[in-house]
Amino acid sequence: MSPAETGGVMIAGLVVLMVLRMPIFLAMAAAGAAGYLWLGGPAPLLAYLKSSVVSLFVSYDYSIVPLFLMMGHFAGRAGISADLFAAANAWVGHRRGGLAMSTVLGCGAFGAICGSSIATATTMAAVALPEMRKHGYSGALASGTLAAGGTLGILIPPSIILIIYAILTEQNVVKLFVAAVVPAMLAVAGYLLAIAVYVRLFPAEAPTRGRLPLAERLRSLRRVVPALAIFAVVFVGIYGGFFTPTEGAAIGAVVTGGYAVLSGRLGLRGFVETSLETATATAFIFAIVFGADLFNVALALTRVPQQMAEWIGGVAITPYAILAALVLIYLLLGCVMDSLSMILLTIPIIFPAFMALDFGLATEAQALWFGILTLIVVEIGMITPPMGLNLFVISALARDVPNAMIYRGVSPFIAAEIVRVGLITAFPSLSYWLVRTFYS
Amino acid sequence: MRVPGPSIAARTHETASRIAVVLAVLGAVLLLAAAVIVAYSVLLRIVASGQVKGDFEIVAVASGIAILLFLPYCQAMHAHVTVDVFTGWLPRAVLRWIEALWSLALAVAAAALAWRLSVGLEEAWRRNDVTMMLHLPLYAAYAAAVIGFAGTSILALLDLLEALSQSPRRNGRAR
Repeated sequence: MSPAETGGVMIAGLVVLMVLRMPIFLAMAAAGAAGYLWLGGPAPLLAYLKSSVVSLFVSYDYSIVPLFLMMGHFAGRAGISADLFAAANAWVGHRRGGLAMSTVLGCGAFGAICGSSIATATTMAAVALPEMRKHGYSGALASGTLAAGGTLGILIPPSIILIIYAILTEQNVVKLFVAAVVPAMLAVAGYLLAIAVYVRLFPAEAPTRGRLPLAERLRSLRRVVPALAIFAVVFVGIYGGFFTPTEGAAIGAVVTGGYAVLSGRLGLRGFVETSLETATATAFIFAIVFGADLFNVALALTRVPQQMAEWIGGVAITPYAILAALVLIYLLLGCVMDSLSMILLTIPIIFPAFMALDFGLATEAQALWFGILTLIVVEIGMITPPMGLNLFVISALARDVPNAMIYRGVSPFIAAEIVRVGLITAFPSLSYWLVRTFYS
Repeated sequence: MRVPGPSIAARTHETASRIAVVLAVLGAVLLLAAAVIVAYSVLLRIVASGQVKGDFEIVAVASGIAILLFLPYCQAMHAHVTVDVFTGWLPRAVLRWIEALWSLALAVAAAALAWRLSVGLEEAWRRNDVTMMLHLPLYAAYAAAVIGFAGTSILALLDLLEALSQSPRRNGRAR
């Protein structure tokens, strides 16, 4: 068997194991270990297993991930999501679909201090779901909004997926965060538009209520102050170059935790619960990081990634056709796989191939653009049935809403996201323009 | 004859899960402590242009150990991601056999990893591997890795035993 064939068998084996419901990280590790064993014999595999986990996890680059996760869970515990939702609700809640719009705005604001989709969906659902149902919103609209709003947690920097992309492709995390800002605003705008269209088509699904007096609205703004302060400290620091992203994440965790304690919402019991939430979210990510590392180390030996890059670089079709094919593949994969596994498995293979294409862009601009595009397409996977993690999260919280209703409710948001993918594909400068302005 | 009440496997699983909780909280405390040191260091740098020496080593080692100590809890909660789409239609009994099979696979794989890492631990100890600036001992991270994967292996094994003893499974996953 030639190395390339071994690579093919590894990929096929991985797919079979995953389809048979083996935990994804274990499937990647098993397929990787088998390939490694076949190509190099037992000695290199045994040596790899002896130390790789430690050298992989004890890393300054990766330490930002558990720190941002801890910060996000502290923020949820401190009731910041409830405050953001209440403030948005005071201002736009009286419009048709206003509560859903408030949810999107709240998710967006929360996403600016939280790097995880699931954490955002969970914490926002706890406040927004009962509120929407109480005011007679349909289960479809309420659950669809929350599932889609949750993705803002990761589309808006900080973003765990962008951090992983930066590490895999050796790009600057801060520049990636900056590049994500304009696309993130487009995402919020797209979601708001999707709600506006939906409630015009089905007005019965979103009853309106009276406007709040101005004094009460102004008072609601005070509740936004803590979130704003945390955001300001962490991101002015990071974007202004006062500290590294990892330092920013550490400061964010400390400040948010401190605020949670001061607000009286984080006692010893709350700390234990937050620790466990952080532990689960961190551990499943790093299990996949390890599995993907073993798989990719073995796959690199087969030279499949290089051959793929050479092949794609050599085909005589327009780069845009290849890009369209890549986007399509990610969208299809996203229906059955989680976003992190997709990034970790495909980026080492696809990134070199993509960079070999000529779009007439500077290398860095092209890498940033591709990062943002990948982020968006894998995040669409979080809300596409049947295997969308956010859909599961919401379905577990909104038990009375049947899955078919959730799928219906989320479809306008998927449409909005597909339009956004089209926009950013057609206008790459939407991603790197701000970076260029910022750093020139 | 079936014994009433939770099986021995289920009860042992309960105890092991509690230990996993303790390890996870320990990891979180370590992570938070490192975060406090880094925050203090940045504060020093901004107001007094000093800093805590080698703070980046502290956060790297502490977060690495934390991640490794989080692993058993993740297994106790069955929180590792799977692709469920293609097997959802299978009868419950078949699914249970598949899950039991993967519990076995995980128990073996995690045990093998724990074994290799214990060799790594011994070497790190013998060579006295330390970080560059602060000379933080790297064997601590290896020890955490052995604990993390041995714990995962034990919990997966208990899942398997529980499945074999046919006791009703409690599923920790949010679904």
